[in-house]
Amino acid sequence: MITPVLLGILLAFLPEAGPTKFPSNFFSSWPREKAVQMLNASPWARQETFTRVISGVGSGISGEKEIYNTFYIRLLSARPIREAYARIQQIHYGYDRMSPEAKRSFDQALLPNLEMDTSQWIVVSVSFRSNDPNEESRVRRFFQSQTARTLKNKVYLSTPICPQLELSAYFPPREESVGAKFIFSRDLNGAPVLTKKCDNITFELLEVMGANSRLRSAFSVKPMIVGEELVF
Amino acid sequence: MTKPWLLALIVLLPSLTQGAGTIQVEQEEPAPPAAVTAANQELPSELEESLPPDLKKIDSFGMEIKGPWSSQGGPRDESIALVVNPFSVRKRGKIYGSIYEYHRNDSFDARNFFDPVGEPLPEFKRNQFGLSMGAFINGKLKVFGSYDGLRIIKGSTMLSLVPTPQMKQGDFSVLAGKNLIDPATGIPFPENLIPQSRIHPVSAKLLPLFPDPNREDPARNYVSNQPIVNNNNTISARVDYEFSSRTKFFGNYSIGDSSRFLASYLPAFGTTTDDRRQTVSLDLTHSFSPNKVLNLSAGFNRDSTIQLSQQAFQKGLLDSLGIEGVSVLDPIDEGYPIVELIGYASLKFGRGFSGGGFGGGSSGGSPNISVQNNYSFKTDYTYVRGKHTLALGGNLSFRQLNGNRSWGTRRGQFNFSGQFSGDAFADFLLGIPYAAVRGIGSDRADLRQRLWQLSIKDEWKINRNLTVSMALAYDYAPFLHSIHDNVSLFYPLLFEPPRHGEIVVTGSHRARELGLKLGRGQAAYTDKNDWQPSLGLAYSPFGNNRLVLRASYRIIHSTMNYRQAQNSIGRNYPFFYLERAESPTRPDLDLSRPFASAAPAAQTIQAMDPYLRNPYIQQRELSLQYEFLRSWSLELTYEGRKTTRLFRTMPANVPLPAGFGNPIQERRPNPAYGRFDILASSSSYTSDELNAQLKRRLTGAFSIQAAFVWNKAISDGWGWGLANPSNPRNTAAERSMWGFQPPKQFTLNYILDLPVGRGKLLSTAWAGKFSQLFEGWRISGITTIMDGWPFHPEVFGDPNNDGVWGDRPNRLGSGILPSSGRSVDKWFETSHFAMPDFAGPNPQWFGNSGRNILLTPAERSWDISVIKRTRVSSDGNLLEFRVQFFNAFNHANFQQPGSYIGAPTFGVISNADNAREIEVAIKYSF
Repeated sequence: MITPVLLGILLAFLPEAGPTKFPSNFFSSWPREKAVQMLNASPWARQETFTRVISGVGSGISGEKEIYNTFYIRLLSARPIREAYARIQQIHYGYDRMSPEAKRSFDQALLPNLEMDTSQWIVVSVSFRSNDPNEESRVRRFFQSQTARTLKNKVYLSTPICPQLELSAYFPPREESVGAKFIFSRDLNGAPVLTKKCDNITFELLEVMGANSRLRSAFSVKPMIVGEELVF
Repeated sequence: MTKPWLLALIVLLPSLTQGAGTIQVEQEEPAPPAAVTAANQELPSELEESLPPDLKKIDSFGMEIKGPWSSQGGPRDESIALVVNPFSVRKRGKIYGSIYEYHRNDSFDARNFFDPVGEPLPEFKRNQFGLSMGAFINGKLKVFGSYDGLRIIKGSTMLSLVPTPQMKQGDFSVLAGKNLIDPATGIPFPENLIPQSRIHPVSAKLLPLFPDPNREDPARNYVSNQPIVNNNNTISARVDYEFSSRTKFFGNYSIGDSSRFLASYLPAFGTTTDDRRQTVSLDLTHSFSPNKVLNLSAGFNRDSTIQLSQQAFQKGLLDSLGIEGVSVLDPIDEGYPIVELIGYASLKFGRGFSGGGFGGGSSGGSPNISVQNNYSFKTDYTYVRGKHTLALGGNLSFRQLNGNRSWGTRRGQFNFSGQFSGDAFADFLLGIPYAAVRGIGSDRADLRQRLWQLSIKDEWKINRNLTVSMALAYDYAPFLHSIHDNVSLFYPLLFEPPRHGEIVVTGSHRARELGLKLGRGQAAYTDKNDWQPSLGLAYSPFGNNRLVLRASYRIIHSTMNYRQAQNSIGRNYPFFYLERAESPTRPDLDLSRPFASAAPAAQTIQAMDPYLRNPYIQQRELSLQYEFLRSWSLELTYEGRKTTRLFRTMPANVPLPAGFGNPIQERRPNPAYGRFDILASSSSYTSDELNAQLKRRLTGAFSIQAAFVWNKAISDGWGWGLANPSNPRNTAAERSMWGFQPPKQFTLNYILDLPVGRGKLLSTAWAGKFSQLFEGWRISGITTIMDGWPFHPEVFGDPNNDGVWGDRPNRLGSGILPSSGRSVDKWFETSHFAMPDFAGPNPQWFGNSGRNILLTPAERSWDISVIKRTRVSSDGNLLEFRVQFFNAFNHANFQQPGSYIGAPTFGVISNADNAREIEVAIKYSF
């Protein structure tokens, strides 16, 4: 009976395993603009805007003459995107004015987002905004009503190594700011689908409303290399 | 294998669990500090079983933090949603929306090319305004509502010729060089004076409806500036609700009221129209499993329209005129009869030329009542298996048309041409029309239609390069039918109806005896052959979808709409029918008793061909789409379309042409009846269209979309409203360019954000606090350049005397002038067209000029908006101010030149589209 007790004591004095400590949080010093830029125009984030100009005298739809349908495509599996989200949350909750104790507690709350395990998955998030409320509702309903299976022949991630990687999982949007999540495997038959030698990685969503039938967004690989590591 | 005791120990240590390859912290709910969570972490059980835990955590990634954070740490920054999607804040629980106003008035507008110089522009005020609001109540419920309003007061300028006060007294001495003939004696009235005693009592009662002239122009001596008023209010509400991750609901309701006053040439003939449109739609999506999704939707819309004359409810008005044989059923029908005067303003509702037909429809104008109800139920079931996506669909819809009344002819229509006295108004004073039409019976129609559709579709992703799509649908689409036993037709319904033919009521014993197996209220047999196959493929040779080739072929059936049917169901003896009395050569008709004073009036027949079929369209398409650079794409598309069995109204019981003065009625194949109008599926339409598009999506500062469409469309149809082929016995001669489509069209639309601001090409850092003044400027616009629309020269009236208008002249040359030779006074070479010799010893009854052989002037329009957007709060509230220029360069877009050969306006352009208009608008988004 002594053995389990000893083991327990030993384990209690061992350092905590895994990323239970908040990592280097240099992003906590980012100004809001930097976080926004990371989420909207960075190597891991794209905006694709489809426009339509309404002709004729008078107002258009809810007073809008130029309809903007914007898809926000982000590589959520890339740590910088999650850090940007974390920084936005920090600013939102007044992190910079918190006491050290409160900060530690808040950091713990952010941890699941930051340390989301994406070691096996590439996660692409897609959110949508339009200044036409009807269009926004239609696209929202489209994303809400899909499943991984129904999207199987409509959504692809393509790399030079693996054209048209199939969707592994799909999560409809729960919050507007994050959007729908499309999940692809990082490996195919044991080999990575993306390496530093690749030029780009492309996300495609066919037959989606608001995008003139298809959404296609390409990310260059080179800017996604941080230090020696390809981050995506 | 993990030992039980070790597991026990792990449980003792807080928040440590074995993850997928790593040890992860798992938060205990709800004890703070809480994890970042989403509103709903339930997953479909199938997904829970099949997904590894790390994927579930990915799903829980969100922006909301549970915990004490909202109450500490200083003020909350409200921009959390804004910064992620920088349009405006969409935070849970917070209301977002916008409020706007668009304003135009005549002080901003340029003068139309044909507006008289020196005179003020007609009054014009237009206000369009609205408010919209929405909110995410919680993670499952989203609501949205809006109100849009429109107020228009538009002074019209309608010029016409009205009789002078002297003429209304019978004094036509002003008509220099023209002798008024006394039809009773055949000799001229002395000094062109009609004795007071000869003024017909009915005419005397109608005379006050003609206003006195108010202009000096002898040809257009009266201008009506009655304003057109249009008030609209629309309210809509929408709700999205997520019952669970498997079941989602959407509902929408909108109601729109519209109230319009439409002015006419003469003050007493304006009409008021009240419309109400209501729409409800419900939509439910349920996922049985990730590869089985069911969508159910239901919709209802109700449109009601009431168009009334200004004299509606003035009980006894029509009777007081003393015209025998016309009456109204209800005070709502009250009003004056239609009095058509060739050369003068007519007593009727209308803003344009009246073709002199039977005068129903718009010239009757009132009452025009309809209530339409449409119910639709739709289901789609999607099943994904392997590389196949199968979709099964079913539609059921009911259409109801209740209490429809579209003809004002119960009050009668009387035509005066001046052929007896030499002046149409003199004929009117004398009370001798050359033709009179009346409706007898109740014109109320209550129609129904029930449509079913079943469809199956398979989208087969054969490999990464090739996708094939196959579908088959079947429509069961009976034609509209009456709920009353009031449908009759002439049998046999032939172009030359035999004299032994008779009118039979469908569904009656007699109809069955004759072999007509139509049910009661049914006007045509159901077309049960509406199969709609389709086949398409998408091929991406390099598998990356940058270059995609698409090809498809499909057959589409179209179903009848109520407007096509309403004049052909329940419009025959003994229910409701038109009678026409005419005496074109002798002054036999007396305005007091027009239908009893001459040869018996003839019944007309309005019917569907009982063997009517639904039109079907064969559509073939080939397109090539190529994306290049980052945001550019080029698309070339060919689309061919062939429509067979297109509806058109065929005139029948038409006599052969004859010289002027030969009475029409006795020459008809069946002289016991007047003209027949038969709705038949006998015309066709083909078009070949090439469409080239170049697009640049909005990245950085600008987006652009340029499209060029080159179309050639040919048809021998003229629609279902008018039935005026030149020669009804030779409909092949009607085959021509389709009249409702310009052959070439170029459109360009663009959005340009001026590169001014922080981090942009032109920095505004120097402006400090005033930098916002220089930022947020945008220019957008649409440019349209297109050919004119096909049209053709015509002959006014019915000179070949076959009872059908639409005769055409002879063509001696192309008629086309070089662009340098065109002017508003002569747009085409009028000398290339000549009147056929209708009266010679060897008359030519039909001109050889084709239909739609010329084009109206081309159109150019530049609409440009200048927009300034200013962010007025940190949480994204925007103030937008814009100035819009419509037809910015004030290009005169001329309308169709006069097409009646022999008329002073032949080849002359008299109207142009709107000149430059400027609108100012303000919008606030919150």
